Amino acid sequence: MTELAIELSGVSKSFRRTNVGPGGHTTFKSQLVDWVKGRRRPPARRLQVLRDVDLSVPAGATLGVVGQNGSGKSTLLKLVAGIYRPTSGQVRISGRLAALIELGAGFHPEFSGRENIYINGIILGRSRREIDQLVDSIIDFAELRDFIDEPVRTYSSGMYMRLAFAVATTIDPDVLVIDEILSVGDEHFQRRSQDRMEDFQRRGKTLVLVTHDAGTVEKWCDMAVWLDQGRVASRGEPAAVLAAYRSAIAARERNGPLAAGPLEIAPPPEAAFEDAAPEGSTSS
Amino acid sequence: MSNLRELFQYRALLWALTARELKGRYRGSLLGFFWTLLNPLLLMGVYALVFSVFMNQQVPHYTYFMFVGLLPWLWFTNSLGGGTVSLSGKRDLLTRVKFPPQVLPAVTILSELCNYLLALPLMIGLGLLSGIAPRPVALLLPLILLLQGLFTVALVLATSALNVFYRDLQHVLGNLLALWFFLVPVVYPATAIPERYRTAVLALDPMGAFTSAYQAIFYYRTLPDFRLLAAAAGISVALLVGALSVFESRRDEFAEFV
Repeated sequence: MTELAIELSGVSKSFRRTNVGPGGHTTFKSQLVDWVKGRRRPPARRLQVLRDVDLSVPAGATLGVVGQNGSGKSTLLKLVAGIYRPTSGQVRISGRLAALIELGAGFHPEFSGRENIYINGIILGRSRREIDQLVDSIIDFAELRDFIDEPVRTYSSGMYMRLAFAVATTIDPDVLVIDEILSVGDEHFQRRSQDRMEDFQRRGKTLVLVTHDAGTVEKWCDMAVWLDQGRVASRGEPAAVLAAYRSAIAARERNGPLAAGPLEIAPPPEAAFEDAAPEGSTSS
Repeated sequence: MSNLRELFQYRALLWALTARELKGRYRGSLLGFFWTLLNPLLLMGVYALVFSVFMNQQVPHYTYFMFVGLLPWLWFTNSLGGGTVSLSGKRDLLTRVKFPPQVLPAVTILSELCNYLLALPLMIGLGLLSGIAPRPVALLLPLILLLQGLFTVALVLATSALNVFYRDLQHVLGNLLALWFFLVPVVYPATAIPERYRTAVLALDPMGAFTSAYQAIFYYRTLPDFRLLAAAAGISVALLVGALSVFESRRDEFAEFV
């Protein structure tokens, strides 16, 4: 069996809900008041985002993650990237990992593109000297030669993403995690970034792509996972997974927007919110 | 301890962010880096005016005396103020890349330390003007810096972690620091504290012990009271142990709550 680049076993993730409405926010004051009044808050409502996800990605493979909004794709990505820690289960990554999540890669708005290249590179595990060697090719790839010493807050979102993509790929990670980025930039940059990703694949690096675009999955991925309400609804060959995903979406649309309940293939109905306390007992 | 080891492993990041912080602080201002020196100078002017003219302190070379204690206090208070929000204000970083979060409060403390060190020549110049040239005992400075650094790291680790969950902390702290400032013998000599309480006050408050030590080596030019420094070191280490456990127990949740 080939070496695994990414291995998730029994991974679940739930979040404490941060309700900013009346009685929702925990502050020193509210905790003090509760304590003085001898009142115990109901345990915080938790939102279960991922349930018992198993996933193995062999080194050198490209995995596509599909699913509707709110299915847990981004949470899965952040778990793989090590930004979140699973509530239960284990995440194992072998090798250096770079992630392009949401817009940007943790750039500091006040600092120039060049400074951000260095800081990002260091966070991704490169030494200053190594980045000295890479910085010009990053700037050239991002095509930001004229703007590289301007603060990144002045960048357009296209420039920002170009820089993020250039840093993450030039720094040459073993595992690259990308959230909805292939559509970024004009056609010219898209072509160049696709070339680079093909190069990545050729060199046996591992890629994880999260996307709504079935075409992207078909074109790029060796394997796919469809997440539905935090569970793996289907996995395997991209074509088969996409077919199942599409037919489920179609069925869901036929049943009307209100019937957005679980699908035939999906696990039995279950409330997404686990409310530990009876309704209406939230204190003010 | 693994917390501090990680900090060491990521020292390149620590330096890069500290340099960025120092360079970035006054970016966009006309005088730029010059503000690093101008700020303590202006502040010194204000305090010198208030305390030597209006309050008529009976301390010879009062401006120098006050400056000796004020600079390290600024290191402390700015580190605590900035460090407390160093995690809660860095959502962009914490939710997008993986790195040891303790780097962020450490960066605040380090960059404030640099500001202190950069202002030191000013202070020594002022001493020379007042006829107080440094003596060899001033070489004890690194020891006091190390101890104050330890104390500050301990406090800021705890406050930065807690402030992610309880944003009240940053407001409470601002006021506490204003009170604390007057409990520490910065604008008045330690001898102004009634003798009965003096040792207790200085032994229980590490900042009091450090401030007296700075004054000892730079102003009185004598050896600092090592018993006070030992007490401060003990308190700092105990705090650090507690702070590390607070930080470690919360760190997995930073990215979710920030």
